[in-house]
Amino acid sequence: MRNEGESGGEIYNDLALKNSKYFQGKIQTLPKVPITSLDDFSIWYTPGVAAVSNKIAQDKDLSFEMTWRWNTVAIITDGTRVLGLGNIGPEASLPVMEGKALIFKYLGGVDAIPVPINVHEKEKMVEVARALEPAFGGINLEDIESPKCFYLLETLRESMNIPVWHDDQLGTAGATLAGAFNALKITGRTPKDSKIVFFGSGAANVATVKLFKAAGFDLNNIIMVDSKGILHPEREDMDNLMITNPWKYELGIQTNAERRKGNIENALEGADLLVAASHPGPGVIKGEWIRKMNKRAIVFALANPVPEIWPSEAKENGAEIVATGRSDFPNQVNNSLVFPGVFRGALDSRTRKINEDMIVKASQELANFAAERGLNSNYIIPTMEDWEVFPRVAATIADSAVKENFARIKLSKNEFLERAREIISKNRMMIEKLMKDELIEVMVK
Amino acid sequence: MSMEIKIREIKEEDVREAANLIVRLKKFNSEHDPLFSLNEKIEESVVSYLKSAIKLETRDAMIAESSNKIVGIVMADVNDRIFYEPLKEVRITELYVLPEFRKGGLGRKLIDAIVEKEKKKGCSVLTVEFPTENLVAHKFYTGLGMRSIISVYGKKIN
Repeated sequence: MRNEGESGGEIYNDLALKNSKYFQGKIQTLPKVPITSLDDFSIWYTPGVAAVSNKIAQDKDLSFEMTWRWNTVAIITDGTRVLGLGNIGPEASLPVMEGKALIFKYLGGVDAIPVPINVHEKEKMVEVARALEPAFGGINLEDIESPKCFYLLETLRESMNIPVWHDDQLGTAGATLAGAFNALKITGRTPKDSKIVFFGSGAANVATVKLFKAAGFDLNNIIMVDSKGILHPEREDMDNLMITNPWKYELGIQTNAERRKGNIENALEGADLLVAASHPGPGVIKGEWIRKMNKRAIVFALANPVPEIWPSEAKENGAEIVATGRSDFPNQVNNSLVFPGVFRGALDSRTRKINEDMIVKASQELANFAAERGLNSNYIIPTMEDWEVFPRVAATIADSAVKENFARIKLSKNEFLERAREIISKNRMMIEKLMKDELIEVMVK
Repeated sequence: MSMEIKIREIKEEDVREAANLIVRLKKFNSEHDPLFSLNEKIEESVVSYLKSAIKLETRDAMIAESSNKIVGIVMADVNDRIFYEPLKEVRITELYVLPEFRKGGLGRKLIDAIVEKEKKKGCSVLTVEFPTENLVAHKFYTGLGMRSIISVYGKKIN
C-alpha cells in the first residue's frame, strides 16, 4: 500500500554524494570584520588583540561580548547513533553535523561548529564537553546512543554554565509536543484526559514523555511500548533497567496506571494518540492496529527515512490526523522547527540553562503560530517555510530564560523578537548575496 | 505508593507467589556474573527453599503484603559463629521488593522485621550476601551502616 510520493527518499542520495564531493563540505569560517590592509591585523591580531585578552582575563564574561562566543554552539557527537544508521563512528558523522551547522546558520543565525569526538565513555565525554565551555555559548549534543545520552544531558545541564541541549531528545520532544497540542485541539481533546501510546522508548520518546509530563499531560494515561512490549513495573527486565537505564525504569513505574500488559496492539486499544519513534517502516505499525484506537485517532509516525506506517494507510484505517518526520507529507514533526530558534533565544539571552518548562513554552508558541494561520488536519504544526516561526521561538525561549532567572541579558520579549529577526535575516542575506555573486556556486545536477 | 503495606511471616499458601519474587531476584543476579546463570530447575528449587524457611528453625522468610499481593520478601539464615564473638549472626540471603514499591523504605522495614525476629534467637550480628557487581545492593547496605567484612572469589574450573 504505497501511494504516489510515498518513496524512501532515494532520489536525494545521488545528489548528496555528487555535491558533497564537489563542494568538499558544507560550511566554512568567514570574517565579519573589515580587512582593508595588512595593517588591520595589528588590530584584529597582535599587538592590539592583547588588550582584548587582558580585558577578558579580568572578566571572563567579556568573552561573550568581545569575541564570537556569544553566537557559537558546539555540536558534539561520538557518532554512536547517527540518524537511522547506528554506530558509524565520529568521522562518518561529520557530514551530518555539518548539515546541522548549516541549518543552525540558515534558520537561526547561529555559528555552530561540528565537534565529532573519538571518546565514548560517558565520564570522559562529560570531561570533553566541560573542557570546551570557554570556547562556546552553548552545547548541542547530537546523535549519541541511549541511555548514555540521558546521563550526558542530565550531568552537563547540572554542571555547565552555558545551555546544554540534546536535539534527539529535546528537539524532537518539543516538535512532537507542538503537534500534539494542536492535533488534540482539532479533535476536541485536552492534554490531561488524552490516552497516549508511545511506541519506541529510545532517546526521543523517553524525552517526549518527560516533556509531556511538564506540559500537564497525565502519566497515568500514557503507555510506553518497546520491542519487548508494554512497559510496566513488573516486566521481566525492569530490575535490569533500574541499573542500565534508570530514566526508562522510572517511566515504567510512573506511566500505565492501569498496569496494562501485552504488545503494541494491546496498548493501542482505546488510545487517542500514538507517538511512534521506533524503526523505519513501512509495516512496523499495521493498519488493523490503528483501527483499535478511539475515533478521531491521531497518529504520529516519526521514524525516518520511512514512517512506521504510510500516512495513506493510517488514514484508511481511521486516523484523522497523521504526522510524520518527512517534509514531503503534511504535518512534518521536525526538530529543525525547534533548535534554531531555541538556540537563537538561548544565546541572545545568554541563558545558563534551557529547562523543560522553557521548552513547553516554545512548543506552545509553535502550536499558537500554526493556529494563527488556521488549523486543519493537514496543518497542525508550522512548516520550514514559515520563516517568522524561528524568531518567535527565539523570543519565547529568551523571555522565559529571563523569567526563570537563567538569563544574563535581560530584554523585553519584543526586544528579543526584534534582535532575533535582525540576526537571522542578516545571516540569510549574507548567504543570498554570496550565492548571487556566485561565491557560493550552484549545485551539481 | 500510599497503599498500606503489612509485613508478616511467610505461610505455606504464600510460597507460590513469593517464589516469583525470589526468581526475579535470581534473574537479576544472573545479569551480574555468568557464575550466577540460572539452572533449569530454578522455580522448583526456589519453592523448596521457601518451604525450608517455614520448617527450619535456622531459616526464616518474611513478606510484605499490599492489597493481598506480595510486594516484597526477605530471607535470612541464623548462623553459629564458632570462632568469633558474638556467637550468632543473622545472615540476610535474599531481599527483593517489586519496582513500584521501592524508594519508600520498604527494604529497610523488611530487614528491621527479620532482625527483630532473629534477635530473639540470640543473634547480635547482622550480615548480608549479594553479588559483588550489584552496586545497588552495595549502596543500600552501606546506607544501613554495614561494611564489607568478607570476600568470596570464584572461577569456573574444568
